[in-house]
Amino acid sequence: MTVRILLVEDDEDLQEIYLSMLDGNGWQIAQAYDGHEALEQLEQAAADLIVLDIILDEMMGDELYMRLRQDERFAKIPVVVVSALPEQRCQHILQLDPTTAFLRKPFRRQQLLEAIGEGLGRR
Amino acid sequence: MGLRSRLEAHRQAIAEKWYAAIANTCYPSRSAQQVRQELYDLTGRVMDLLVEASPDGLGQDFGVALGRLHYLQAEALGQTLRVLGQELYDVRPEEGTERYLTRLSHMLGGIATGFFDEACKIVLTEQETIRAALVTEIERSQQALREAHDTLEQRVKDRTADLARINEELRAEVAERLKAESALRDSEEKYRRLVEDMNEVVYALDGEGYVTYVSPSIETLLGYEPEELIGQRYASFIHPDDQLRIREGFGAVLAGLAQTNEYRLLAKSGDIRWALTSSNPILQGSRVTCVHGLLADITGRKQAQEALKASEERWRFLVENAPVLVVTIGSDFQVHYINRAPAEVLYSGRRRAAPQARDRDSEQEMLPADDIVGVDMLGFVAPEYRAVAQEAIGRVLKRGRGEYLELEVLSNTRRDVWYAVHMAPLSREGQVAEVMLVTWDITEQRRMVELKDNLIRDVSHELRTPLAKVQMSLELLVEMLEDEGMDRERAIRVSGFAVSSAKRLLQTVENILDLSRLEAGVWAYEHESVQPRHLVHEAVLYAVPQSMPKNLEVTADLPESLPEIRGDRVKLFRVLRNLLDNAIKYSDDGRIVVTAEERDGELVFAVSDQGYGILPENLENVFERFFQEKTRHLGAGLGLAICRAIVEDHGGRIWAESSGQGQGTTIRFTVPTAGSGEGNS
Repeated sequence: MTVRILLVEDDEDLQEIYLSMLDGNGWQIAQAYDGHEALEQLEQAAADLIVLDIILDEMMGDELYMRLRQDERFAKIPVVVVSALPEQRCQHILQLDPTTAFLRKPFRRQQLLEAIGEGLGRR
Repeated sequence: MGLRSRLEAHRQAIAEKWYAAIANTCYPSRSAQQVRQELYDLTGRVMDLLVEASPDGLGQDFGVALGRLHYLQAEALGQTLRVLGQELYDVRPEEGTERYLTRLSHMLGGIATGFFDEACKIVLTEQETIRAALVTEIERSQQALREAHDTLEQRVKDRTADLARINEELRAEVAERLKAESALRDSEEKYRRLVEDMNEVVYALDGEGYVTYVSPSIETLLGYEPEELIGQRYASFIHPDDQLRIREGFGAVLAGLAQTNEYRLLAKSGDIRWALTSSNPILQGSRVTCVHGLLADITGRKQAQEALKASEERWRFLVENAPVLVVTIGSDFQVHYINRAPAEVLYSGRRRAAPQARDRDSEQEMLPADDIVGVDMLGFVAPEYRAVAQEAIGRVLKRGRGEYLELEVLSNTRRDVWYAVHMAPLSREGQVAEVMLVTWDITEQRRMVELKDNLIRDVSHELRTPLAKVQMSLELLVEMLEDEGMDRERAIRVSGFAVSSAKRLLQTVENILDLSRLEAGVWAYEHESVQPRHLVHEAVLYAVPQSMPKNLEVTADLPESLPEIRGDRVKLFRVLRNLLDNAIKYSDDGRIVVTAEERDGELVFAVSDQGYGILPENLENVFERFFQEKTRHLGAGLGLAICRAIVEDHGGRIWAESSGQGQGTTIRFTVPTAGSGEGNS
């Protein structure tokens, strides 16, 4: 079964860059530009992993993260948090689940692939 | 009876006998009378002789006297016979003259002899009597003399003893007296030296206030010798300003009340000396007759006091006018001192100083400075910080080291009022007795620090985001270039991300710099006449190509004529450009209209869109730098802040209007017209 990865990022350029980074792994990539869109995407098709930006329009990434944790359908989905914010400003969500990975922008393709690989490995 | 009188009596008797004998024998009577006289005289002479020879009956020459008596006897007889013979011759006696005379001479001789014998016997008897009497007298005298001598000797002895005793007593008394005198002299000397050597002046005044005594140390104080002062009125040496007060004091002393006074005296040189006197009334019966007192020179002390007072006043002035609150509190947190009332700070706590006050616990009120003394300092602190403050003060008291704290205080006008509090221990006799708090309002400072922190955070985020994109794009591009089967189109797109991000980064940096220059006032403004119509058209011409990618129509809507304005054309253009950039950014479709109209001496510009709109609570905030209602459009955070700075520098105002999300936005700003004279210069 094809692995499905949901990219939640409000910057279109970065969405394009993530796509390029993940290209060639045979994964199915879904894109959402804010929290609401992400939830809609998940309702339609579950994801095996979520790459989550924090500062978003409409619904912020941290709010989305909380909602996912409270929804048993999505609570177990591994998350890789990507943000320009320093790690400590994301602690309020990272401390909820030590397995949640954090990558501070900018990061390299290799870092993203490793974080995703680890997350997928824990499924 | 003396010898003469005894002899006289004898003579009288003999003389009578003789007279009778003669009268019987002789005749005529004349002759008898004459004889008797002769005899009388004769015996008288005999008697004189005897007495002469033995005046006291004890004559040595008694024998010689007797011899002469015999001679006298013979002479007297012869004389008598011569008388009688004469007579007889004339008369012629019968018996014959011779015979007669012989008889007569015998008879007379007998009488005379008898007389002499008798006289001698008398004399001898007398002598014997006198001798015996003398012996008795002598013996008696000797006895008396002896007795007297004895008595005298005894009395002399007694008296001598008395005298010796008295002498002894006297000597003791004298010795005692000498000792006492010496002691008195020593004591007097001691007291005199005490009085004269001490720094203080001892003085005495009579009931009228005249100096009757003053000790020599007065010279050191006033330059007068005591002699110059004695007899003078004391008051005449007192400084005029103090005279009334000291006169009253003197009156009180005269009424019997001891007085202590401080006042100024005038020295001989004209200098003023400060004196401290204590005056005591000296009573005679119930009347005060004079005043004794002690005077000390306290000029040095007074000068020190004055200096201290001046210094104290200076420090007090400094403290009271310092732009900080200075408070001292005790270990019970009770305020001992505060330099002035803190403005707009509220108090909520127990007020210990006013027992009559109602229980004001937890009631908030403003306190005047006087009422603050005595209250619990913690009452000014916001409840959630009281424990922190209490602990910190406790540490200062315990360790004697200063601390610094920032505390939220209660205020009646603002929220989040913060005070910086420097706490320092105040020691007395090695013990920390009080804590001094130097405190000031840091609300604004904290807000600025917060703003700065936010600014740094926002700026760094604002810069970091595009930079991160640049880096990620380029790193990805490098990886793609290493791949021989590279997707060229994708590589070009990715490199485009880097370019656009770098551009936005540059723009943001420029905006930051421009805003800094505007706010620092270092950016010079042109003062030129600006045609608003040209300005608006220029802006629209700029905006049309920008709006092309979106379904937007940008137009100007201007009245027939518009007044000229004065200002910096380039910067005013920038205001419009920023507003149009935002309008394009925050709209997906619809019209964007730029208008300008004259209203009350101002030109009012407006840029309206039909885009996303602004929430009512954010209408003010959009002009703060880096405020972004929607974070998708990074880099827009400075545009409106720059607009506001430029508009305000031109003497205008800028504000936002929106009916809410999705309702579009209108930003208006004013610029005074050239004629209004309000143009910013």
